[in-house]
Amino acid sequence: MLSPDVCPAPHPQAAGRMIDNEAVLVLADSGQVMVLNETGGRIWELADGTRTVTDIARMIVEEYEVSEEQALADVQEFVYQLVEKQALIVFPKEGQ
Amino acid sequence: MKNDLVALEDQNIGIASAQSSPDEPCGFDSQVANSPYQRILAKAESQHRLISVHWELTYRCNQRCSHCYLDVLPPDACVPEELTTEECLNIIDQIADEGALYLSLSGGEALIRRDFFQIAEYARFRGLSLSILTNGTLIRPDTADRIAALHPLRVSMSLYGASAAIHEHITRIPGSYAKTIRAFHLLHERGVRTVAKTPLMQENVYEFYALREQAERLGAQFQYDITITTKNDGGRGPLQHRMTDEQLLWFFRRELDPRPWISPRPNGRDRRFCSLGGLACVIRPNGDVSPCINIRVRVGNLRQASLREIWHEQPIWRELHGLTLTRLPKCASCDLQWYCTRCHGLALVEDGDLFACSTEARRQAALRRQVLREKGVIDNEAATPWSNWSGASSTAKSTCL
Repeated sequence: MLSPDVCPAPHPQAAGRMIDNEAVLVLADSGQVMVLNETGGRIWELADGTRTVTDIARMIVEEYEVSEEQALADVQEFVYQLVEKQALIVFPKEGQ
Repeated sequence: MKNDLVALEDQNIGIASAQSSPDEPCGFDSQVANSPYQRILAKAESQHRLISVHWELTYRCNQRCSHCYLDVLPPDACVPEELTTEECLNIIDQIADEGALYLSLSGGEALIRRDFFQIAEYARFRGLSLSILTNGTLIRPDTADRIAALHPLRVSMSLYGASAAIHEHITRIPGSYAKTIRAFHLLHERGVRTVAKTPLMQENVYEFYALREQAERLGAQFQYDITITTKNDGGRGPLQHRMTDEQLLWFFRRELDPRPWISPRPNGRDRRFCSLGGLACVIRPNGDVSPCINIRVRVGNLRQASLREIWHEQPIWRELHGLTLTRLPKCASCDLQWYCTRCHGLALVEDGDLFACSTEARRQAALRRQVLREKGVIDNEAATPWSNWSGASSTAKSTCL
């Protein structure tokens, strides 16, 4: 399981845009495009390298009707998936 | 949180790629698209969202290709009207702020610009997915390293022949073939996805299979185009290189896949031929903004107006996007419409009228239909190519969408 204390950021090969509440991610090295739904797109937007997984989960709780526990588990799982697909990278929060 | 992953390979959304698969129907209407990606693009198109920008950074070039639609300038020409580095970076900000996703950097030869990497790196920094179109001759190991570091979606390079003799007969630069081949190798070694782009013409059509094999050996995708266009000022010089009827028939008899042409397609008068005016624009070296490569109408200039103003406030985009069969009565009643890859730009630049029949598209359509008849897959009397073909419905989605 991905640590909730790491900061996700876009992978150098990835480019993405929100288009009408959905995100289109282009993965250049593999030549693939991913379409993320609204929540996934929001997580992608928040994954800018300044927030931890926990920070992102908190913001998801504020914006969507979901419990803290569920949000954290979902964000952890989702970020892990995007790291596997090389759409995101993760690194320790500065100072940790 | 479900997400969908689909292959990008065959998605065709950019200006540069609008003619990259010319042997597929252009009558496809994005409104019927069914993948999540195509659905989003169709929605963006209907909302006039800028998704893709094709940018001709310079008209200077170190090759003199015989069929080129541009009157290119020498590499060392002084071109004061070219956008400065500062202006280019500002335009990238505007493209990114507008929400675009794709940027293609082209020329002339884009790598001639000394600030090419400054521009390209800033585009990546602003989150744009980058494609590069080049002849490859300026790509050396250190250049290839820098390109690889950009993580471009693809680098497309012109390959005109499977041998130096034919390639250089077209580029008119001795030694250019070896340099371009070297670029393919250098980029492939670094994991960069490359595309060998080949306009098929009188001089190289019979090299088709050798070219395709060459591309495969180079680890590149092979993309050909059967249409040679006039100069952008309407000059007809390049047309002498167009394939003859005999050559086109030779090609179609071997390579024409009947399935897309006999699969059902939308049959209404609101049918569009491309996404013109909906998703993309072209920027010229002097900052002029145009609807597409072939429609060189100046909608605005980025030295005089912002991209936002040009993209949102000029009525021409909606007018062009409204170019359906209703506005093209000759096409609507044409017996070749189902075999035609009509290009509005070609009709404008070659036939002098955006609404006219594109005579070149019609020539190709007639030859295409002839070959489909020879293959026995269409019925001479049927109203549409698929009317009397029992297998049409089962393959429609896989071949047409």
